[in-house]
Amino acid sequence: MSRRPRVPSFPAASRIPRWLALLLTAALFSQPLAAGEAFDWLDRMSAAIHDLNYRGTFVYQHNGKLEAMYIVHRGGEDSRQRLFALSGAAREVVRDQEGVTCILSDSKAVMVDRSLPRGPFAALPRDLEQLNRYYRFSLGGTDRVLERHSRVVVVEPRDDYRYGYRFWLDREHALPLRSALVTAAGRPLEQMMFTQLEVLEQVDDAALRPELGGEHFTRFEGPGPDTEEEVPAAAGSDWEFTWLPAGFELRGHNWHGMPVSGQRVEHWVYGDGLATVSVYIETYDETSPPGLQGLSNMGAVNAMGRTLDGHHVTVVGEVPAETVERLAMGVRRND
Amino acid sequence: MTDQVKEQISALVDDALPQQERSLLLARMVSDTTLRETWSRYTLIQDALRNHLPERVEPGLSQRVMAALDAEADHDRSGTARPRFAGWARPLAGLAVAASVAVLAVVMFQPGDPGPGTGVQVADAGAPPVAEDYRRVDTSQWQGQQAPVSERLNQYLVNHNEFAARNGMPVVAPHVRIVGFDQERR
Repeated sequence: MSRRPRVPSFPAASRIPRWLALLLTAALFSQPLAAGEAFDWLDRMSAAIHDLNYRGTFVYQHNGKLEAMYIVHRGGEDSRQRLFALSGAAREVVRDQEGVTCILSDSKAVMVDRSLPRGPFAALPRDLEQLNRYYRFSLGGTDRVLERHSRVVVVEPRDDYRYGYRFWLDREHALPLRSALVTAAGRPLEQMMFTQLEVLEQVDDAALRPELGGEHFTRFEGPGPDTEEEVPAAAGSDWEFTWLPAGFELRGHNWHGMPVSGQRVEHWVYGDGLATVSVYIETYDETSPPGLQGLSNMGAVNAMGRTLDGHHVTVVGEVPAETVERLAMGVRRND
Repeated sequence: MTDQVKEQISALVDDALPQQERSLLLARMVSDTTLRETWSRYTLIQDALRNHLPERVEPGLSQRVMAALDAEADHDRSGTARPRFAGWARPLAGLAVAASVAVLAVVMFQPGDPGPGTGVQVADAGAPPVAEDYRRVDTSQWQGQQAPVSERLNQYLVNHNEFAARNGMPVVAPHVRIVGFDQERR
């Protein structure tokens, strides 16, 4: 009796145990799948941060110091946020779609900046493929923060020109219960953690109204941008940038007045979708208030300033010092 | 302030400082404002971590607490017999409230309320800024920079934060550094 011929199998596969084949297959596909899932969590986080109503107390750690703050946020079309210090000097920031108001009790000043991008608070860029060239996205397991289950999402930069992030996202709402900004080597620079957080049905206007200020505060308010729309880079500008980190593209360009000095400044925004830097250029002479010369930083925010052809150039961003330095040194005036 | 002292204060807040060190540290805190402020900050943060932060604080409470504290200190110096640590427990608790009230009471100011810090020259609301006003928004810590440079950088940072929040990684509180970096603690 003749037997049915057996279906030939691949010789190599036949020598690999099934469990190992499954493992290899899983390893092959898990990386992009995990990256996609991590990115989906970040997308959910972005929507939660902007759209939900919430209030809470959080601690912010930087340079070995801890500060306590309170935040109340109304999401959606009529976005508005109020942040104030619970430790240190009494300060308060209210932001909405019209601008930012900083109330600084230690200097008895109210500073209003209306030269901001128009429209609602933006969502995370959706181009994962593009971002994957400059960052690795992964899931870091689960944890408990504020006695709630959280999903850990890790974003690691692929070079030294940008920072990485670590988020502990609430499994239910995807709000970041805890977050850390880290160097490319994984060293934490700043962290914040909610110590109390409530997601609300609605937020009353009264809760978003600043409580600091009054007639004994000096108010500084600069003019808005020259135009409501962003201006293409080449349009009317005398300046060019000879170095940018890989993946950094122009995200905004305009002219506007600064709140306190009233000085008109040309402003470029460059970014890779996660990291963002601003370049400010204004006319500069011996009567101008002094500008930054060289490098400085406020926590993880670095700044580099220099004078160039009767102008002052300042580069600011939540990026490493080398990034702002190289970018500032690469600014040239068009002939 | 050395790291050792910070650790001692932290241990004090956690009620974990050995008795002898505790005694010495408390004695120093009587006359050292910086130590008291640090202790107050640590206490506030611990309260935050334990979800005990007050939402509202009665205006004027800080002055009353400080007055009570002074009275307590006088009482202590007079040599009245009582357990040293029991005697300190209340003033320290008072300090915690006092220091946090000093911060939060400002939150309670209403327009027209003179508030603390009288004697500061104030321009009319809406008056055009003048050159020397740059000092008034130099509140945040830029490493190694003088007031006018910091003031300029603060304006840039506030402006940049909004563009970064709309063009980059979403964050809960884009202006956390403007609120949280304190010039006085340089």
